[in-house]
Amino acid sequence: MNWKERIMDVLVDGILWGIYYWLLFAVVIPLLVNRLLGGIASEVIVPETGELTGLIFLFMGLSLAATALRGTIYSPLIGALESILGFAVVVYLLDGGIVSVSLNYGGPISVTLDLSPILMEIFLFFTLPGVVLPFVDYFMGRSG
Amino acid sequence: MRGLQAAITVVGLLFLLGVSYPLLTFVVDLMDSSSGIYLRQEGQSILVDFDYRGSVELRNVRLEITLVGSKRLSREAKADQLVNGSHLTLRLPVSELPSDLRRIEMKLYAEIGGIFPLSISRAVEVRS
Repeated sequence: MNWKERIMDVLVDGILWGIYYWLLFAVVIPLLVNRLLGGIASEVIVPETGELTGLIFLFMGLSLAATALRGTIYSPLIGALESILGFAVVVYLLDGGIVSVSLNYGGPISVTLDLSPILMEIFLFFTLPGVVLPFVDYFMGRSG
Repeated sequence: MRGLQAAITVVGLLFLLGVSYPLLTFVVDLMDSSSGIYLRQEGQSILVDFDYRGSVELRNVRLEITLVGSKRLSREAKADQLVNGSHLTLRLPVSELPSDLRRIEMKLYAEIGGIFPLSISRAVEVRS
């Protein structure tokens, strides 16, 4: 592989994985949780455009770095950082898992929902594999 | 390995939908405003009745009423489980009520489907 192909490979792979992490942690999960709550907590959960723009550059930058450094220990480290950062984004958007909203229900009522079971599920299925699998990939590549 | 990660992500999203089903159902029922807390006098007591109308069960339910006036009176009622049509009733003896009642605070604690902790609170100012 010459250097042009290598750059193209890093760019395409890095940008695609950056978009994947961005879509997953900043768009799909918050929107899904917002839909699950029937839109009652949309002010809390839906990220602003500025936040989304910043996050896409952050995830793309990290994915580009992880792809460019593939084969070194820095690649799985950056990959793990990306997953942990994604989880931090979800925790931030869900206000730490405690969502409080005011509703008019024959008068004002305050409803507080603890979404920590959802955060736990996100950690188990999205963050943990994102942390562990890049290292498995790295060490299997070295031994194989 | 990336393929495996993507597959786990898809399973995770499906699992997220499954786990959140009681939450979604509860929110839809809540927006329908079918449940309610009603107060009525029966003899020498005031009954606070939580009438639950929802398709998802509530577990570890605790209803707490605080009456604020010249003194502060708190009472609570508990139920292990509430299903559609269940009632949780709290009895407040009239003789124990504060003389100049200013505020009624109601708090309901429960777990939606035994998974998601929930608290609902409402305060009503009493006009003299």
